[in-house]
Amino acid sequence: MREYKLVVLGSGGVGKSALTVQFVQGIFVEKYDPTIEDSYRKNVCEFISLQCELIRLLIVCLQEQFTAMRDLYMKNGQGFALVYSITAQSTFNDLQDLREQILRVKDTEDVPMILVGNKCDLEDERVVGKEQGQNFARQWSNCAFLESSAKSKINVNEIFYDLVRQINRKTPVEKKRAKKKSNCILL
Amino acid sequence: MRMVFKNVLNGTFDDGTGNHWNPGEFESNVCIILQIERRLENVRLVSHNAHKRMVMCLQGNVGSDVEKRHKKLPLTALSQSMLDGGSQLGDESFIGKMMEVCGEAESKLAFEQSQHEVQLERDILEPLNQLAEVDIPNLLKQRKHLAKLVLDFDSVKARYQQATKAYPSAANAQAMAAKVDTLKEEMDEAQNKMEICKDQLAADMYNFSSKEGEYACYYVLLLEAQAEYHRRALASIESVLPSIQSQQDKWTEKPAFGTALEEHLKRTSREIALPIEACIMMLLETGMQEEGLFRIAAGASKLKKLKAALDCSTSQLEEFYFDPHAVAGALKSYLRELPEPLMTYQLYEEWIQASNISDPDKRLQALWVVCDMLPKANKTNFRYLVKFLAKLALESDINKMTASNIAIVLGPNLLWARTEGSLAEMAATTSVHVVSIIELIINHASWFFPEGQSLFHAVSPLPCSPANKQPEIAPRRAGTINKKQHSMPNFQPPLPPIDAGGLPVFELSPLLPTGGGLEAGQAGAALPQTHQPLVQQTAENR
Repeated sequence: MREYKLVVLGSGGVGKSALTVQFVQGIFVEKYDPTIEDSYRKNVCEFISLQCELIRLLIVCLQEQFTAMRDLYMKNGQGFALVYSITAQSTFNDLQDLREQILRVKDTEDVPMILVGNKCDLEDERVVGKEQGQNFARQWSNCAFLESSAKSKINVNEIFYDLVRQINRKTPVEKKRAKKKSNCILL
Repeated sequence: MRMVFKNVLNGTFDDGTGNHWNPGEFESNVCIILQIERRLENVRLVSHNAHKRMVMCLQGNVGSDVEKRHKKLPLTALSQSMLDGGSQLGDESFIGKMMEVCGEAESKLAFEQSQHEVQLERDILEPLNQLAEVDIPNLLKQRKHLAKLVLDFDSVKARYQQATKAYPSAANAQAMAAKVDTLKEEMDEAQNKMEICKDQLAADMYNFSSKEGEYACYYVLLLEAQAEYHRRALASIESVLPSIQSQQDKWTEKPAFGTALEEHLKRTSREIALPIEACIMMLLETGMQEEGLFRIAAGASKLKKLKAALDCSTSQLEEFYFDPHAVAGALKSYLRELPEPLMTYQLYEEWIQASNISDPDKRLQALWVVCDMLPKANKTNFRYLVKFLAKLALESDINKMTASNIAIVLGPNLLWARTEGSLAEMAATTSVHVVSIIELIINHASWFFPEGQSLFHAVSPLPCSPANKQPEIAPRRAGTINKKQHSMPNFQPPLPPIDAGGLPVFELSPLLPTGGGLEAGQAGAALPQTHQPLVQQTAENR
């Protein structure tokens, strides 16, 4: 069994927790509570190349005041989902700094990463165009890009699977069977 | 020079050049004359040079009066251009004002300088010039005149001696005797003239020599005049500098961000820090119902602009009324950038200890005590902020920011440990404590701070909000309060442990949107409501 440390980053209120909870538990959280730090685990053996994979997922909140923790997660994380909300331009603009910070901490250009435009169900309130996101991703040395909706369950699983595939591609491991295990951990 | 004279007078001086002075009685005088003569030439030369260099030191035109000279000084030109610049920029511009004031000071300085130069010219340059170009040349002229007289005397004397020698054997003895007599007369006259001239010259020489001290004085005078000038210049600068500096201090907009609270308040003579008050006033107008206020990040460039605008308070803030997230971000940023957290390093341990008390009543009391220990400035600003946050939490139906949510996003900006930055874990623990503290204080805002209900009405005017006239805000707020009353907690907070003079406990009722429990059912077990489950989960994790 292999553990993947995925980190979800983005400005406050873009739906990092919502995406994660939707992925892990299949429910949409209506609640509007900011997260300090949450940690989830999910067994995803049935999805990825018939191999039992344990994905350890960390959600990190990007409030300025939590910078110390953020650095630590950047150091430990293997794959990063950078989330913005298609309804708020500023959340989109913030990501450039975030990516640069990750590359700096990781000290490499090749970091498994995906750009996510969340809340794509709110088409009426859209201010960040899909092309904008695609262009942005292209500038990031062809980073993966998805538009998602935690509420409408669009592209939620794809985000995390894509990251896991990217990590696998980067650091392949020999396949072996692991006993099935599923639990959820909250930090 | 004096030494030479002494020697001469004692008769010990010997000079071999005075051969043609026939009578031995003049020999010593010759020495003196020659000595002084040589010296005279030297003095003339050095005085001439010194005069020339001194004139070069002057900035004004030699010979003009104070007024004219003042106009020609480079300093006057500087002051004039500063004054012009000042009037061009006008009084509203601080640069213009300062240019004007400083230009006046420079003009005074220029006046001092011109006076100084005139004085120099009068007291030093002119006498020096007189000495080098008139007095000494006159002496030298007289000396030449004497030489001529000596020659005259010598020739007449030679003729007389010749005549005397020839007289006894001469044929025309009578004519010869008459010639001898005439010659004798001529000789006597020439000698007389020579003597007079010599005496005169000697007197002048002695005079010059005795005045040497006076001439040397010119150089001392120069230094004294310069000293006096610099003193007066300094005095004139110092007389204006304090007022200029105080104006400067008054006008200078030192940045509020990153400056210690105490210092900022003192400098601006405010009670509430400008960024706190300005941001809160703006948020009260347009931000209270903004979803995710303090949570959603503002655009980085907008935030930067607002921070800069707040740093120089003259700027217009109108446009930010429509960007509450930027305003909230600026407030957060201000609190975060304080050199010391608003809740102070000093009380850090006390805060944490108080929040660790498990009994809710005792915990509240302990927090009250710590809160009361805050320095006055911090307490005033903290109270102001908390009152506002409590008000904000009242609208959580609309803005979704319950006390707990506000505490999570804002708490870490209010208190942090001195050593933060090195250990992420420590930061996390601090955050958890701080969040719980802030949540409690927001929930019990009017119990912690019973005074100052009307805080937000008695504030200094800020740039007028274009959204002032939105009529629906007040009614909605009232509605929120009514709705929220059902969520009162099931315990009454105890009275503060210190004699607080009959605190109105009943004020609590409208201020208690606890945030917890209301929506817990919807979220399932996935998301922890507050810090409480967090501890359990961490334990499980290990």
